[in-house]
Amino acid sequence: MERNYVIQTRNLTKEYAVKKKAAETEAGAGTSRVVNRVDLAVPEGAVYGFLGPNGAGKSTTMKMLLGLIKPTDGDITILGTPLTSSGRSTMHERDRLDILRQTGSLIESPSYYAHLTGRENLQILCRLKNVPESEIDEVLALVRMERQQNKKAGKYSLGMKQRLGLAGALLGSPKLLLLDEPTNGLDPAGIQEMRDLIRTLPQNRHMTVMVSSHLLSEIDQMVDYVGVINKGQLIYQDSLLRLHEHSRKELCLRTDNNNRAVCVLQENGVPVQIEQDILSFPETKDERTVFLISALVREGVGVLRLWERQKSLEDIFLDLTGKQVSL
Amino acid sequence: MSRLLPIELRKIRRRYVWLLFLAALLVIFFWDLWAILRMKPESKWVLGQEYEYLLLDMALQNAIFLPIVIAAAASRLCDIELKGSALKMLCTLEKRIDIYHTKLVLGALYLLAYSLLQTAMLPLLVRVIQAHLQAPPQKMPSAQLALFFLSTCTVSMVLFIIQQTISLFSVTQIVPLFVGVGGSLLGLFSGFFPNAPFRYLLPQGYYWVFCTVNIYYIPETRDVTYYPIPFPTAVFAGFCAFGVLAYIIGRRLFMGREI
Ligand SMILES: Nc1ncnc2c1ncn2[C@@H]1O[C@H](COP(=O)(O)OP(=O)(O)OP(=O)(O)O)[C@@H](O)[C@H]1O
Ligand SMILES: [Mg+2]
Repeated sequence: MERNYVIQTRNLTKEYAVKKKAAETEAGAGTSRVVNRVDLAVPEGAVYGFLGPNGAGKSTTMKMLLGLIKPTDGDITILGTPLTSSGRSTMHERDRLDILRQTGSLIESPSYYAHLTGRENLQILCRLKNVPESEIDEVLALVRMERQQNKKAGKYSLGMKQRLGLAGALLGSPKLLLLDEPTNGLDPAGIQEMRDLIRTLPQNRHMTVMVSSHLLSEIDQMVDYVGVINKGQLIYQDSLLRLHEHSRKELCLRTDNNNRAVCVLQENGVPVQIEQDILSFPETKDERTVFLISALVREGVGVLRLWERQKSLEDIFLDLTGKQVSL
Repeated sequence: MSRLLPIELRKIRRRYVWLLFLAALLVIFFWDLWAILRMKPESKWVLGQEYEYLLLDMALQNAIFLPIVIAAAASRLCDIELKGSALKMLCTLEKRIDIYHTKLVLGALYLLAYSLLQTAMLPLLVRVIQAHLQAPPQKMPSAQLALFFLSTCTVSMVLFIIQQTISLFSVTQIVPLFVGVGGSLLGLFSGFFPNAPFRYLLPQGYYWVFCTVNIYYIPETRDVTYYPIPFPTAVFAGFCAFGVLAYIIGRRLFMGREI
């Protein structure tokens, strides 16, 4: 059976007009493509990690999903309802908001009223979302903000604001949660708590979560799916499992005669790479490793060091897509 | 919309916007009171034209205070959405047009209350003058008071629309406050050059333009006398059209804004 997608986009594109001078360096004249034909597919009940370096277009994409900025082109379907088609809204704003009310979001920086206390902020949100105020205590407990609830939000630290923002997003148990770098400003313990919380949301609260980050390591332990965006293009989108299949280890080698070593390894059919005096090749069975090393020694190559290394994410993406990306 | 207004009222807790208007009213009241109590018993020129005296006075005071008060009020109502980028969240929950209108309605309510209280202050102060100078009572010029109320509301509302639009776009709120202070100074100056076309250029100047009283200074006796002038209905209609235009532009800017 085909999985249901909670978010689906096709050809999602955003262009910004840029000043003449800047435009000359870009491809299109007068505009710069910040999001380029992105086809997102976020399956229901998943935690979807949206990865990309600074300026890749993560926030822009998420804002387009929420209708905060207008796409230049493309289709957006959220919770099974098409909201945008070829860059144009397909429905009345009221109906669009009915869909978006089932969505909690935390985009770029947390939203709060600085002159109100944390609790008052959530009370406002309850009224806006038509949610009983009894839910406040529950979400405050989830983000561990019970003790700071009566302090003014403007006086919160960044991490506390982030927690308040998450509490607000969780109000009303939305079906979909869009979190843009939610761990921004959190301390290590807070990051761990946030991860643990996010991971349990699909099971405990039947939510689908899309969470952006610029570090895979940061979301590695909580996501099921990964989408990687670079320079506005979605260069990878699949399950984390598949990504891990590609992240096999490799063996690294230092010798006193790299040129000779490369020849010997290649003669034995090993795809070897050389980088900064270090030879690397995919991990092999132990017996074969023994065989290769003795072959090198037989040919007079002095083996100085041999060690195992996890393939870097950049290399994995390079393998998968042929595109260089720095994460 | 009717749902949003009570929420808006909760949002502006501890913002003390009403205090701004109250402060302006109190300053105007005590300023006038002070001026009245300083009148010598022989200040016969004011007798029989107490209302005219106060109407002109308050047009001046409104031109001085209201541009600043309105700028500050609009800024305090709007900056809460920008400081913690609450607007981003709000726009995913409510229609933008409703957000824009709720703030306008709230501003209109404040301005209505202000204008009502100020208009009500007029007969009160007239009583004070009459008691102070032991003068006979004067008939209340209801039409003039109604026009004063109407023009104060209208000019203020147009100023509020402009200030709200500026405030919704300025993160620091320095620009809208600067516009308010500048407008107040210009509005004040425009009053001193009654025949210069200059006063028609800025909306702040219209507190003067719609004043139905003019002043005539008699150099020989060093007295002043007031005389009624007809309400400039055509200009008022034009000004209202300008206000509608300001509203349409402001709304359009806000609706198209990317957050
Ligand atoms: N209003 C705008 N006008 C022009 N360019 C913009 C505008 N907003 C964003 N951009 C550009 O769009 C690109 C993507 O920005 P975006 O905020 O989506 O990146 P991001 O992936 O969220 O990065 P980060 O990890 O830093 O949050 C950037 O190059 C940015 O300069
Ligand atoms: Mg971002």
